[in-house]
Amino acid sequence: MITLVLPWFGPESAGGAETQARALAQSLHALGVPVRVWASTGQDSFQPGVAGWPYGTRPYYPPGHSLVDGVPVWRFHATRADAQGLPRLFALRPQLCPDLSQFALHELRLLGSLLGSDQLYAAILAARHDPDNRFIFLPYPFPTTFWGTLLAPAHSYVLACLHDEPYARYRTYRFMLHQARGMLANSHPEAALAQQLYGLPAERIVVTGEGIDLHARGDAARFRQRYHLGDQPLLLFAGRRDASKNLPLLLAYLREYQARRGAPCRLALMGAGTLSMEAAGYASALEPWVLDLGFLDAQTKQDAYAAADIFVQPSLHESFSIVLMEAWLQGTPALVHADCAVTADHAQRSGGGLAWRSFGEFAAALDLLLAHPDLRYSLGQRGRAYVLATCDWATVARRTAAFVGSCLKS
Amino acid sequence: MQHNEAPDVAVILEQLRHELRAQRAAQGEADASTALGAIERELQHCAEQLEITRVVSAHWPLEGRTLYQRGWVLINKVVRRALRWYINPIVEQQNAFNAAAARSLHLLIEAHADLRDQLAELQRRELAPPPHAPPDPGQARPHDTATEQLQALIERQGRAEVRAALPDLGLRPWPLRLRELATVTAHWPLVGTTPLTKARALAQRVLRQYLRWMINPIVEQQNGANAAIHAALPPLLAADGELRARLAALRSRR
Repeated sequence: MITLVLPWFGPESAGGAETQARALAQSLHALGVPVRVWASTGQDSFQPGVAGWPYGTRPYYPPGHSLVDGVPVWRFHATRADAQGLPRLFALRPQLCPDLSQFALHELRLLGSLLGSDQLYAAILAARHDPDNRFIFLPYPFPTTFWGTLLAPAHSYVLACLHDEPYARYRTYRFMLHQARGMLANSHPEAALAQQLYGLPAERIVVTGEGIDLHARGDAARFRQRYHLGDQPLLLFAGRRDASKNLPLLLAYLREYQARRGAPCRLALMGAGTLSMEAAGYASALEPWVLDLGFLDAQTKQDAYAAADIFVQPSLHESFSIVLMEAWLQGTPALVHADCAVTADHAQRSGGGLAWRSFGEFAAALDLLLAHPDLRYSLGQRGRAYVLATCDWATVARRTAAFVGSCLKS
Repeated sequence: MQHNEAPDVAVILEQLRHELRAQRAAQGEADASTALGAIERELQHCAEQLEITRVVSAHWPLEGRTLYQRGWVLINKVVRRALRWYINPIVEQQNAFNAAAARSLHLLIEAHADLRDQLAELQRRELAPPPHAPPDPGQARPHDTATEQLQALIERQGRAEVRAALPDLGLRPWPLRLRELATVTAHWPLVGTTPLTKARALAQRVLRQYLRWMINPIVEQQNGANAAIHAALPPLLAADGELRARLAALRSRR
């Protein structure tokens, strides 16, 4: 039995880790691997918490047992940690705790500020000696992963979704990953980052990758007609509207590129998030060059990918980049930031994209691709072949099951 | 010119009009640059004053000339030293905010200078027709479409591109940073771990409770000023962004 443990899970739960967990659970189930999910009753990290509690703690799903896509799910009430970040279960049973003095106070407080559940920890405690059970905890920063791993280290694997961000360097997470039996990485750079940050031996990390829906088909003409785009060269950005996705940089670069080149293209933005367009550097005078589509339904998203001439991924913090794969699946070439090891690695391995590090390189890459439709087509097709070869969920599920030691039913 | 050839009046008139426009533009630019020059000097003075005044100190020299004065100086020094635990953290928080506010203002001044340079460039292009455009670097189709070769091509052509200053990007994180620092508090936790430090913490809490009447109003007033300074930054950035976008649109049409 594989038990996926994460803060939120369900058909209405948004977020990369939540989407990944749902697809992984479905794929394992489809392969006949016994799988279940343990999560909280909250919806996702975008929802507010109970007053004075962490984000996402407000109950949304009913507690207890349910089925999602045929996969058994148990949901537990969220509970608060104490002022030092210690869950009540561990406060009452200090023998279960590691030596907390090795961790800085702010690291424990970060854990205390995120969703946890004493009921969930109790369930892990009860199941920790089951020889047929393997826990996969995701993602790495949450107390459900930290405290859960410490309760059942011999049966725990961490699907980290690791980014090169400041709190990835906390001792708490280093300690946690050394306690776990192994780590699953979405990409080779993520695995390399884990080795670099935590000194994990290579045999304890496996790149299981991530899948996407390989049957998605976009209609470029329909999208261009709907938004009255004609034949205008179109760049596309997709993703959460966070400063961490580097949208301000992209808007500033586009503005300068258009000024120098006479505005040869247009940028479409799709996605929603907390950053206001004004805070991202958007001004009303950019309106002729920037088309803000907001949050799109699934089919329109695919249409947008297909209609775009170039997909631009400026983000510096990715553990996989689903949107990059989705764009390549529609045959759209990509421009990625060279300082994001994950997307730059994908671009280099696939041959489906080009990387830039400065405005000069951004402009040169756009000049090259906008001037040569046949080159765009070649890169796009390479990207598509890469996705078809590496982003099949059944393959990801087999790698995952093999690593954690479950047997597949015939 | 042959004597029996009539002068092309239209051409002569157009030349005269062009010379007149150039003279007026030059005069306007001189007037504008005089006004701009005054603004620039004022901005430079403000930047210098920011650096001089942003660091608040609670430890200015205490001196006395007479024996009586020196006696009070000694008492005041002892009292000031005894209250360091209370006053210093408040001053440090305010200095952190002042440093962030000063940095933001310096960046705004740089951003303004960049906008001025862009405007000047546009005006120069209005007067002088653009030179023959260099060949579009993207036109030559690369023979080799292997990723490594394309990357090398991009890096080479990227180095030839004139550097883009983009000072507005440096400004983007500062509203959030200022917001984090804007509220100075005089009531952080005072705790101890040993009997001695616990006793000291208790004494400090009692003393702080007594001195609230004096310190809290000062801190509240400063927090009011901090909030006002912080609140000014987003609209300044928005205004900068709007001007920058309009200038880009004008540049794109040249």
